[in-house]
Amino acid sequence: MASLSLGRYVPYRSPVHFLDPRTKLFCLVLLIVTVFLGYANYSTTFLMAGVSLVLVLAFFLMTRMRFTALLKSLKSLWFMLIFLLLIYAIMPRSDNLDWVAFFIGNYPIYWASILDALKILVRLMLMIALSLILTASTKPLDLTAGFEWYLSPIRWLGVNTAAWSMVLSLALRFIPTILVDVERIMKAQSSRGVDFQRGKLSVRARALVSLIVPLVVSSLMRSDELADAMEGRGYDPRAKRTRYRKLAFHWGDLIAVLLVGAFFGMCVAMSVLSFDPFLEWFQVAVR
Amino acid sequence: MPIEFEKVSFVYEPKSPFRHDALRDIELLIEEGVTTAIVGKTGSGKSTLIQHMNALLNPTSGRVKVGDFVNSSVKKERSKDLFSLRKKVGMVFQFPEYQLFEDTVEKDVAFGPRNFGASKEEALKMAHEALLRVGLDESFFTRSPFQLSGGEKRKAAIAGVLATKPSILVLDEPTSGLDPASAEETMLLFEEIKKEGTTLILVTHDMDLVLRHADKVVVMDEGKVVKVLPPEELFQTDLSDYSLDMPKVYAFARKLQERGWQLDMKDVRDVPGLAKAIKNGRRAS
Amino acid sequence: MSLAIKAEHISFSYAKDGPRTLDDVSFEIKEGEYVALIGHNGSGKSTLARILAGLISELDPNASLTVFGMEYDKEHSAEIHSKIGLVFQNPDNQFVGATVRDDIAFGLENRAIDPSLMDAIILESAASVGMEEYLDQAPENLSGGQKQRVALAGVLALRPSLLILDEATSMLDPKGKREILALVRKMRKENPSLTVLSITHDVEEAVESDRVLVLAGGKLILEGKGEEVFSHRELLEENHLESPFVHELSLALREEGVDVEPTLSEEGLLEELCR
Repeated sequence: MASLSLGRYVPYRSPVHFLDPRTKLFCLVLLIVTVFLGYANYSTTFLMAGVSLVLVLAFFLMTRMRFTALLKSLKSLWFMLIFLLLIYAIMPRSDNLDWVAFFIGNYPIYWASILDALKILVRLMLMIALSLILTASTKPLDLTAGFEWYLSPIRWLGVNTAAWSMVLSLALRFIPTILVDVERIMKAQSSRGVDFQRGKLSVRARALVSLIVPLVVSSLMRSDELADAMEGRGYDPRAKRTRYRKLAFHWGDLIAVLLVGAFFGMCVAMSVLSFDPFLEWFQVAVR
Repeated sequence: MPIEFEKVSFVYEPKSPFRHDALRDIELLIEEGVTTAIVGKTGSGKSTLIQHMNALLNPTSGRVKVGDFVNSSVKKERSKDLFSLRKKVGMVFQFPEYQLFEDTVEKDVAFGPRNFGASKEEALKMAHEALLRVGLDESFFTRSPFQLSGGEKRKAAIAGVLATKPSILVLDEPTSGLDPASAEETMLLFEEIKKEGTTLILVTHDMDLVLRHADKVVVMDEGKVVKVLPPEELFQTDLSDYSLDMPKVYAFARKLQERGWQLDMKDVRDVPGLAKAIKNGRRAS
Repeated sequence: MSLAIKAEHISFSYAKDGPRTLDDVSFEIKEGEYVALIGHNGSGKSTLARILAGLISELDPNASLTVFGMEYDKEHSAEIHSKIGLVFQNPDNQFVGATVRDDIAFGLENRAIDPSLMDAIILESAASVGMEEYLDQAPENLSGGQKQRVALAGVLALRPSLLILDEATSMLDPKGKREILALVRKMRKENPSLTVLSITHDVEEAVESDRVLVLAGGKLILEGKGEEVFSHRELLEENHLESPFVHELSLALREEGVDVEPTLSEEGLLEELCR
């Protein structure tokens, strides 16, 4: 279950932990958009990526997350990265035709393709790192509350957002319980001669059925009993409920939103104006 | 087939802050034909211990020998033939009814034999035998296991383990959740199977079961084996250190002894036995 | 004394025209009484619990169920619910919150209690079950017994008048079992008007009760004080039940010719033997 420690909440007191989940969700969206902005040229793109990377690393330090966690999460993505590189490398291009890096046989591989693939790689990495910071610094419960707040406008369309947020938090609550079930059933079936690791496709399919059917049965039973318990404790999705955990904005949230907003604004401006700092600075230097 | 633990240790998540030493230097011999009970409070390492017996877990250090099979911390020393080990060592986990999955009871019970290489016909024959054994007659064979009552499900699941005719049977809390009569019935079944030459290993919190069915008790505490002795000796000693309960007959006898009674508890395993002992006992004046 | 539950002609089957899970069950429970309802696996006792808890509401037309003097109908069901606290069998499947604190809060939120009062109530009820140091723990870090204690705290926080324990100890180890029973004893001591209905197949639990009801095959077959009920040994054995240990022992002693009265009280038997 070690791989699951990834993206798990890490109880720690840091400025990032302290922020309201709504602030964090808002900032996450802004920063991810920033990461995916297109700039005037490669050098600007990578410069901005570098700036973002510094920011992300600062967050990492603040939340006391380990860099190995990030590397681990990238490990599971490396297959996709290779695939992306290949796609970009093979794709014929009309621009920068003169800028060939090397040939594979007769087929030219352009610098631009390699840089594009690299760009995607950096963007994905930054996006994952940002999401990791969010999940590590925010309790699942607060996260659902944050989501619910953003979804609250659709309540006017007759959607019961509180009920959906309850569903979400119950799902989060039962993930560990169900993982224990998985382990237990796998052990029981292994003892009956099931090999989950090896075997022909048909044998492995059978093995999977011997895991999934009992898992579904026990999950259904759990949900039945849970429904009874919730109803027995007076839960009515239509009734008015109060909330024990109240989200509250603080000064820190305002500062965070302003800072991230300013950074976002700067990046958007640079992107829209196709601002090239190298060129500008070069001109300044020449003058 | 004896089971031998040689300096076995097991650590969960060794290189993490969640590190947990579940077993520490276990030296233990479980003899053939002797019903061995493994007791200890929750988290003392009982279930980790039994999972080494059919190689669901490999030791972090040390070696477990089950007959000729070697389950070692060193990969090279490990025997390859997992199948024949798991065929010989049957495991009835707690609430085994949660492992049922086929659309008929007979198919589910035949699942084990099929995995261990029996042909379809052979496996069904073995399944039928096992089902009759646990008291589920022909009328149950083609029913869906999910339509059975709780007690019947338990029986079907046990049949699924018995079908492969294991020579060692590990029982993890086999009676939990059953009403007294079904519990009694289940234990009688295991006693019969024992008479046919299967070695029973019983993991439980229920000291009444231990007293009635075990020949030898292994007491575990914080990952260590702290005592191996016959039940009647164990229950004469102070068990509060390991937060174990007394069997009801011993708990009552102790209260009488505190009030000056002298009782010969040597052969007392159940209520009629205690009544006899009280009849033959005396009060010191 | 007024009645906590008055049940008359309760019948129920899960499938239309199917076998009756409950067949014409009638009984009364007085306020402040501790009643044990025992029965074998599949006797219908859990169905009865679900009916009392209002989780099943389609009853036979002849049936009548009154709780604290109120007819169990649409009009009163909310008020009745607010008086009943339930603890179920499986410790995991009734833990709703992400932490102990949130789980106890869940019931309070459902009753729309002012959030500013919640912290005090949560702390008080957690403390009364000895879980005050675990408030921020997630359920996966707790033992089964601890989870059941949290379930009990969640119920306590709502100050119920009727506590229904539906096999609440059957999945626990002996220590967990004892702790829960001791807590219920303590709760009754602190609040003598609390009515407790404990549904169980553990006959030892029945020893503590004021009265025992025995359900078998959907019918109420015995009812009365423990000594009385357990004197019907054959009937109980036929229905997959046994007598409590002390009772068995007193009977076994009589068979051996030792002159003792059949009893459920350990203390009583000890005294009699030492006389």
